Amino acid sequence: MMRALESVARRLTRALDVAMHRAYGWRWNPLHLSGALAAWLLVVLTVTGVYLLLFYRVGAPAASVQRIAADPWLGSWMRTLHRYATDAFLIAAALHALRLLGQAREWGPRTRAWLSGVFLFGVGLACAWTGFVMAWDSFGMRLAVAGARLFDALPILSEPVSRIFAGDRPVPDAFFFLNLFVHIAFPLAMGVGLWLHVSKVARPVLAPPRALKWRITAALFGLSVLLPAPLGPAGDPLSLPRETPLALTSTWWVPFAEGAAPWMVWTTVLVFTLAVLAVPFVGRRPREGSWAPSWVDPRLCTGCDQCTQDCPWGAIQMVPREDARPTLVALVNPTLCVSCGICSGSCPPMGVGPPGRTGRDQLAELRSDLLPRVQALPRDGRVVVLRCEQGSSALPRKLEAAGAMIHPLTCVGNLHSSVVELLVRQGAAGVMVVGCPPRDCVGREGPKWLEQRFYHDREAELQARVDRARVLVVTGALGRDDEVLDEFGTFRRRLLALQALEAEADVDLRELCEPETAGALP
Amino acid sequence: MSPWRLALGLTLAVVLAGGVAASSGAHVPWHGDGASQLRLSWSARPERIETCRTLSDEEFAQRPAHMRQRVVCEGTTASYALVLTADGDTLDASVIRGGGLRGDRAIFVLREYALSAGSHRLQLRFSRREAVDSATTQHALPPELLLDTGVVFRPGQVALVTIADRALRLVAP
Ligand code: SF4
Ligand code: SF4
Repeated sequence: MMRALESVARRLTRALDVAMHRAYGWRWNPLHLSGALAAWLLVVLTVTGVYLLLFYRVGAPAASVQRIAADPWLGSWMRTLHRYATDAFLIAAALHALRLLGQAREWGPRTRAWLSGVFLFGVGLACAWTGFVMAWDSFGMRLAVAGARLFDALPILSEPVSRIFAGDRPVPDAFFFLNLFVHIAFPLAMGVGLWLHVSKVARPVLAPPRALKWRITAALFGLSVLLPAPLGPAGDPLSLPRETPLALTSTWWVPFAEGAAPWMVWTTVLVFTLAVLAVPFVGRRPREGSWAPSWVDPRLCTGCDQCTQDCPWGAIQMVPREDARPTLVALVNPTLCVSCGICSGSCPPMGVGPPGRTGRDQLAELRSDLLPRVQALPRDGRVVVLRCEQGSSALPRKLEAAGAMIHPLTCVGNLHSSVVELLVRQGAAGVMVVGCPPRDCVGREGPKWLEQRFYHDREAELQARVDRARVLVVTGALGRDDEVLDEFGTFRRRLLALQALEAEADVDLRELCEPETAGALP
Repeated sequence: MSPWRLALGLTLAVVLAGGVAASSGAHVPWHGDGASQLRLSWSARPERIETCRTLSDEEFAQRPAHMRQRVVCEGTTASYALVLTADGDTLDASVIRGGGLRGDRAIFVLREYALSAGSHRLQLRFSRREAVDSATTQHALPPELLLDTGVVFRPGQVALVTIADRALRLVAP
């Protein structure tokens, strides 16, 4: 059931990614940054909300909002921007959740992020609800009446809340004051929720790139100026409006809440909430195989601290050694490790990584499987493509048809630079690495660290002795297969123009980095 | 960026923005065309019914010293019958009790009845169900309240009946 759900989410996300890539290219695909965009939209909501608050009157809610809406210079579009940003926030948050589900990133150490995300989404919906009630137009009154009906079904208050809106007395200011208080308290709660949401990741990305965030803000602003959000007539408990405006994104639940019995509504809310909260627990995998947490071989660790800097989840810390060596040693906290394998590519002596995926394991696999196959090919056909498994599923077939030898990686951030060095020094004409867009990496920072390791001397760097003309890093975003194929063709032609390399004998990259005290090693 | 991609990007942006605006500006039916409604809404404290008797000398003597009172009372809270007819048809006939587990808290009435627009004769009776000689506290409901009136219901409007000054009153329209 859970796997089927993940599969649906994956297919949906991939289809949306392809469409967005066609329109904007992978660099500007907003879906890759749905979480950061949601955080940015909270900023937009806060700024516009503070402005609106200056002109809002608890004693005359409808009149004050109508005055704001009638102000063509600032009030009208500030109010509309506040509303459209609410819709955009909820859409971005929902897409973010869908993406994480599709990438199986909702369980284990990410459980807190999922649960706090559900909290943020729920509070966002509730905040939208109170915001609409603040305006006290016919729609605001409709939401208040629907909410009161639901609360009256709970045995909490002795006097039914619905009587406030019966019309036998004016709706008390205290109600609007309380509503305003809650509307302001919710964003504060969201601040705490956001902190919890990102508390387990290193270097959380809370702001999209400047150009993207301002383009999206400008688009919402333009929309606000061109199409101001509707405002119904002032709420009157003694009138029965035929229809009201309804913000479908944030208040889609209203027709159901009005039509169904309150117990059914509460039961649905409860069941749905519990189901969503249960996702990380139902979706979890046994921590073995490709989900096994990383580990450190203390004999190899030189205490360089690189893996602690590169781990996107802050799962590694340096601790005192148990032997006589003077350095600290890295230690993985398995409850924080998501098995992304990024640490495998960070360690010069190849002493850390998930079981079977450390740099040494990668070299061993290369020697036993890939290298013999490469060396069996004619010299000019020895172009190896190391590609992230998360990318396009059709791409390997197309690349193979174009003459590439494909080797999959769980993430390009796992790739130890020694693998590329060994390939080049032992006879491959060239190595092309196809990763995901940097902002769409399941390991969060794989392509970023790969780029720095290959071209900016970040540990464990690709050694200077490796000819960079024989190495190419390509972004294989979904929907970009043809461009990747073109880049492969160009790369291959470039390799043909280079002088063929003789394979070196007996290259043992392990020994280059081993500490002297390491003893017998695998 | 190719002109083709630029055009596609702009088109998609316009479609998405239009989608957000359309979803925010949708109009959804609420009460429908020409609906009119009678609403009863009030809160009041129900009467307390007390039965008192004088203790015999023997009973009086058995009581601990600090509880010796000649007259002792036991009380319950009244319940009420609500009967509503429109043009002779019964719309509601129900028993209303006070809030709380013992029914001794305030009574809250909030009921709504859909009626066609036009004029209707309304008869509303709200009366204590328990027949007793004496039952009272200050500010409690009178034992019986009656309303018998003609009302013109307008489309899209609510006619509201409430209790004011210890009487049922039509306060709107
Ligand atoms: S696999 Fe390595 S980099 Fe990834 S979370 Fe675990 S310790 Fe950190
Ligand atoms: S990168 Fe390797 S050597 Fe450096 S601290 Fe981590 S495990 Fe130790």
